[in-house]
Amino acid sequence: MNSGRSIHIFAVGNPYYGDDGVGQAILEILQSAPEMKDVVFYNAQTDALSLIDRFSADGLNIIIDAACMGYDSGAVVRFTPDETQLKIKSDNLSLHGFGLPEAFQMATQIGVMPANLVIIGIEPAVIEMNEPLSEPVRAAIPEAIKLINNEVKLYESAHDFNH
Amino acid sequence: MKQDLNINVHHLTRVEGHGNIVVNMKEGVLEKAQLEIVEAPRYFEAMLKGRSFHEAAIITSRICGICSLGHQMTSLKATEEALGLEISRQTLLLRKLLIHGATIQSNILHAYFLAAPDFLNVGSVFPLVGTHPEVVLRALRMKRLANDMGEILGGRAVHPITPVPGGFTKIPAEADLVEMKRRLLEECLPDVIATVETIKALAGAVPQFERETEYISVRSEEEYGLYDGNICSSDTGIHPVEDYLSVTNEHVVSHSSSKHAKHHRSSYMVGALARFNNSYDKLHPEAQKAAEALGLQPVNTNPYMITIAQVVEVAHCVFDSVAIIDELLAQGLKAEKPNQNPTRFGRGMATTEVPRGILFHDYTYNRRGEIVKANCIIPTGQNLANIDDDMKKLVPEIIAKSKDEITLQLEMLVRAYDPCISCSVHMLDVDFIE
Repeated sequence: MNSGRSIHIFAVGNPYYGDDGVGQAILEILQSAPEMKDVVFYNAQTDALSLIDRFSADGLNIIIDAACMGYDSGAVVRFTPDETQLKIKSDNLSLHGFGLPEAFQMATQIGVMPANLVIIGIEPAVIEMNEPLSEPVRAAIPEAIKLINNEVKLYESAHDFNH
Repeated sequence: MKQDLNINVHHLTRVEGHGNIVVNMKEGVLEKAQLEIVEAPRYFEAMLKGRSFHEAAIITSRICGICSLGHQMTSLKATEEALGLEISRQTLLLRKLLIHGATIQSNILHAYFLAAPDFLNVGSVFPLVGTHPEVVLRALRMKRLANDMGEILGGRAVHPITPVPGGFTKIPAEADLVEMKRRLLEECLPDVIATVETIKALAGAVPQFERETEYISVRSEEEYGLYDGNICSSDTGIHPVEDYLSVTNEHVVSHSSSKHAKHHRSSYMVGALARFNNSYDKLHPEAQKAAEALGLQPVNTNPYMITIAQVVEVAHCVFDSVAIIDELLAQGLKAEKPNQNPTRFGRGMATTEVPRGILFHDYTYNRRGEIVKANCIIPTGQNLANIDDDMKKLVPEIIAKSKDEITLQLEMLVRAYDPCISCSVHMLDVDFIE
């Protein structure tokens, strides 16, 4: 686990499964943005459990992921883990099934769950192998980036990053 | 003694994908004992149609989030065979190191997170965090090291990006390998020793069940067969990789959307126990000592011991990784360009051991270097018939137990194989027309 006031942005999901790849698509755009040069990026892909080692204890953690939230496809929602009931599949857990809720539970239990963690969820339309991002999800990317930029700016101003 | 038994476990827990256990016994006669695969086929061979040789390994590595490295390596080997691309000794060693990292990660996660809860009779790994935090933290430490091996060698922990046909796009720094060796010896090795002790303590909870079957794995005369070798059958001996179709004999069965496989008998086993049984003599001596400490000797015919064989393999991979790093450092790392100049365009078949067993990729390329035909045979599909045969022998042996106990033991049996049902489901062979 990393310490210090830093900004970490994570993507979760498999880009060969349609909208499950939206996290990576957004991460790749952010990585090339000049204003993000001090941000630490990590693409967890299908290994959400690896986030446990990557969380910033005192910094800002942003996770971008396709999330089935019951909204229209392409909806972008900012939420924190304590604002929602994430489905834990502890009785139905495979290595593949070790997703974000399970990683959060494990992180909480071993005491490495960061205090400052925000999830940017994008409601998927298509989670099928070998499919590209759907139109509604592709169209939602600018909105997701706007929300992430807001999070970063708020954190930077609160912690006086540039002075 | 009960005469009638009906078990129907829908959506088996702690198994990837959708599989049901169905058992029917009537008037003392076992009518059905099988693992039904109900997941829709995924046709991932179709994804390869028309793709260039640069893309095949990238695409196939995405088939599976857990076995991504194994698919990638097998794909690269099949492509190189088809196109006549030679690789350097340095590339070979770096790939073997990657395979070791992936094997350590998968075997450790299966042993600690999926099998240990069975041995301790708790529903999942989460209760263990409270009761055995040091054990869970150890598993996470070992996983992290394996992840870091993937990141240093492959550019990314999951779905590596630097291994390409003919070599690597980026060579790790010597300092990174020196540090990797230090961590393997100073951090991981104590964890391996502790893991052997932990699993040894759980050995009494491993169900006693024996069924002799055919064991099929990669075997190399030079080393413990993981990255490369021939096909080895415990019944019929060595077969060249090119004969893989006559070994696997995939066939459709009514209760599974994934094909079954059979060779010399009605079924065969692949995976850690098959590798252990076929290549025990090639294990690192320290891994052989771990096997002895864990009470595992070849030929072991208890499928519940797959987990124990996985732990033995972790010991092997750690020691062999150190040996590989030593060789790489001794010869000095060279900045090499991948050899991507095909000398032919044809068919290439390759096999690699992924954590769940022997994996085959078979590609045919046209003269533009595009795939026109592909076939991938996944370990889980090869194990399905063997699981059914295990159940048919097991159920009558434990029929005096309660229905709940029988159900649990059947679930544990399936989980011991660590099936990846989603990956196994690809029942159609696709012939592409140019």
